[in-house]
Amino acid sequence: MRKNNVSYPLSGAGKAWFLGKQAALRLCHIGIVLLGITFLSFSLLHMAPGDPAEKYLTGGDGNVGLISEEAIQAQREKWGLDKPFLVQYVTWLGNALRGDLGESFATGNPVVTELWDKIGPTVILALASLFVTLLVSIPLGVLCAVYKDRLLDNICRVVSFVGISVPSFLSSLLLLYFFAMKLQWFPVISRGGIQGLVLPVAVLAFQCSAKFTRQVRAVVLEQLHQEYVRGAVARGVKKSRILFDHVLRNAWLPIVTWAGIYFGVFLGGAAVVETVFSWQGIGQLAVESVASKDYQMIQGIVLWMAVLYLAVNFLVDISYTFLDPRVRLGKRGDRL
Amino acid sequence: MVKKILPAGMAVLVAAGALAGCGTSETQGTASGAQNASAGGTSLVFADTQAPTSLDPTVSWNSWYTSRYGITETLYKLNMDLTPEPWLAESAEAVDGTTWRITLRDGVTFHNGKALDAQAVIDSWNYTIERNPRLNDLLFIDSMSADGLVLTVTTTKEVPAFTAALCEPLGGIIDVNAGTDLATQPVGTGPFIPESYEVKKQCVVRRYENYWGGLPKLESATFNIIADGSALAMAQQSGESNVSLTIPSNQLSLFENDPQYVVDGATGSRGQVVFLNFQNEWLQDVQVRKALSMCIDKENYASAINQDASDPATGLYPDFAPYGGADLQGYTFDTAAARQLLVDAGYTDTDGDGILEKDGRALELTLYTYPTKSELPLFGEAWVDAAREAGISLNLQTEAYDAIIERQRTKDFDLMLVSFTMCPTGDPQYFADIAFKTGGSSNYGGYSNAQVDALIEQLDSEFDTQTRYDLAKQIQQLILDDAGFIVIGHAKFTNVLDANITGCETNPSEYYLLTAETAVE
Repeated sequence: MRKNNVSYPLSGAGKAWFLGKQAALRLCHIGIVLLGITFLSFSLLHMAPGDPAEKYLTGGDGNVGLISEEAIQAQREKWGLDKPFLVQYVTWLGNALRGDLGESFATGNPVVTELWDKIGPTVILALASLFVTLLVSIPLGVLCAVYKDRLLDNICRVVSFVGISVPSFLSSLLLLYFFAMKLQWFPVISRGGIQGLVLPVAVLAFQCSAKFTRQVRAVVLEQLHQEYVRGAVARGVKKSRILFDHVLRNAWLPIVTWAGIYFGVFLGGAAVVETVFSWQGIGQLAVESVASKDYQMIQGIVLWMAVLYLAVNFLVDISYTFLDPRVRLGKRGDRL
Repeated sequence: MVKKILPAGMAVLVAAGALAGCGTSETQGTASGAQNASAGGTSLVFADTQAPTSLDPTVSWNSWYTSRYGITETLYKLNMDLTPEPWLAESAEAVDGTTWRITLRDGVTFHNGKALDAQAVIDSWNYTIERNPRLNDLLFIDSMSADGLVLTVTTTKEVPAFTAALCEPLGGIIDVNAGTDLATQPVGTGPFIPESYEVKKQCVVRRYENYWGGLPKLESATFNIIADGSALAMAQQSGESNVSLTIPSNQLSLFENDPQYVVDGATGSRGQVVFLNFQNEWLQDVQVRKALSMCIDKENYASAINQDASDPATGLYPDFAPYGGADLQGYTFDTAAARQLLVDAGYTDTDGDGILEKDGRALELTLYTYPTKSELPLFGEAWVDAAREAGISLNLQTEAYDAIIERQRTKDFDLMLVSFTMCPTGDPQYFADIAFKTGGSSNYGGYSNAQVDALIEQLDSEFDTQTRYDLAKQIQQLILDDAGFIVIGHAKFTNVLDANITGCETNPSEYYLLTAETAVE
């Protein structure tokens, strides 16, 4: 029998015990997931062809003969790549648990320092993109649902298809061409600053809004077809009140879930957009690290992304407590 | 609910903007640099897709960048036809087979004012060799002694190409006792001093007022890293960059007929080299190798497919080099003649599918290449089509570069088309030793020719420059007769500059860029 399928309000002490148990379980899950992800990525890196030491010494481009095999072997030993795979992983894990993610093969700088330098720009880009996405998608999605199959809905549908279909590198280059090169409103090289933020945010928000608007529309439509809406209409409740006080309140949970997912995606780094706009974030770092087979940096990025997704997921779950009274009262405590 | 969320969201955006504002000054700095240049000022903005991992010239290949940025200099430098000429040195003479006496230029100072002498060179090289053994794989230093401006170097073996090896930027001289952080502030002798460096983002240099070659004409320069080739071209067009390095060949047409820009290209020694695996039964037949060589339209590949971003190779080394193959007897593109050659050698098309057979087996080969050099797969496709006309079935496989490197190690290929720097220090001996010689470290296909080996042995100990060039040509002709290697062409290094920039010539070596003579008219 599952004890957490409670269907009645818990007492104060019981609720605390219940929440504590759930939190402990969640932490165990997080630990197992992190262990699995880091082991998997470590394995994949080692299985992929290419030698980081050789790549580092040769510059990775047609200079192989310039470097002696002895020098390459010495570099492997310096980085511990000559040791058995499991020894390498356990060493990395032990250091990571102490907060030491090692040094980047490519630059020799501590991975933590490099990650920290890139996290700031990525967080800025993610927050701004999420905000614009929410600002555009939620009102548009609601309006499209309310005015289903009318002109606005049809226009949004077409724009959404375009947004979903056009790859980000193309939309990035198009925006650069018109707004940076032709009109010169924004710089081609986004070195930070509001001006440099606008175009990458526009690309990310456009792509994300294309999907999110449709998702908001779908969930609002689903609510609009519920019995309680018909009842409210029959009782003569104002349409705006039905929409804002009832429909949106019920649609809020999936909307927050999706917003959390998108935020996680943004924080993981939008590699293409960051590369095209020279935005020095996690995405660009990931691309460079994979190209140079920088094992230490890749592991650091994987760990960052995994922690991030889990944290965002956790925060989204927490938010249910505030958004859904049923969760607050313990009726849907199993979500936490 | 919406009323609550909206202000919160706006607060988030404002906070993000405030944080982002930290970088505003950089953007403005970049833009103003470009404006200065276009207004005839003394700053320039360079943009490149490639970046050093730090400014420490002893690490990895960073020295190539510190040399391009005008921070470090070497004792010799490569001129436009890849021959070495004195730079920080006045002369270098071979006392005997393993001893070189180098006389340094008088009056050279490091950025901190300290005078350059032979002991400083010894300190610099010892420090570099300790951290990057590649330098001694070039110089083969056994011992060094200093006497004022005279440096005597004893090598572990005869190094006839010693002055060429001195041109490698890794041998650039830095003051290792300066006490600065090499990663951001290496103290060199070049016309520019590093002012700031952000990893793979931006490097700013300012001129060194006491530079031995005279006051640099530019006050400062900024090097921006733009990883995307299209964005690189747009930054040039928008005026954010004054000089763009390695713009993709498909973007060059944007600048070629525009009087605002100069497209300056120089052919280097980065060859598009085909390695043939001599363990393959078909490729052991010289007629098959010759037929394959005749199926490559080198002129067309360079001009049409690669849009003039490379020069066709008659021989193996670059045609422009003094030891190049311009006057050698190579192969002319002629698929009908190639087919006839094979038919004469006993190959027949018994099943009428166009592919020739011998002993009941079709003449089929697999060609491997990789996509990061975008012209290589395109060359491969054109070769496949031409080879089919000649009766050879080529199967083109494009794989990741790492997979290609793995195939080189395991010899798991029939034909392999790769980009290879053939004369990194301008001398032909290097590639002959590693690729043409039997058992060479990069002789992936197992090519072996006793006559070639004998000539390479001779080259390895020949000190007379002209004789070395003659030997290199003889080696090439023997390999061409054997069809042992195929070099399709050599890539050009093409920079796009604002038309009012002078003193910034593109050098085929990739070693140099910003000099004391670089100026805005």
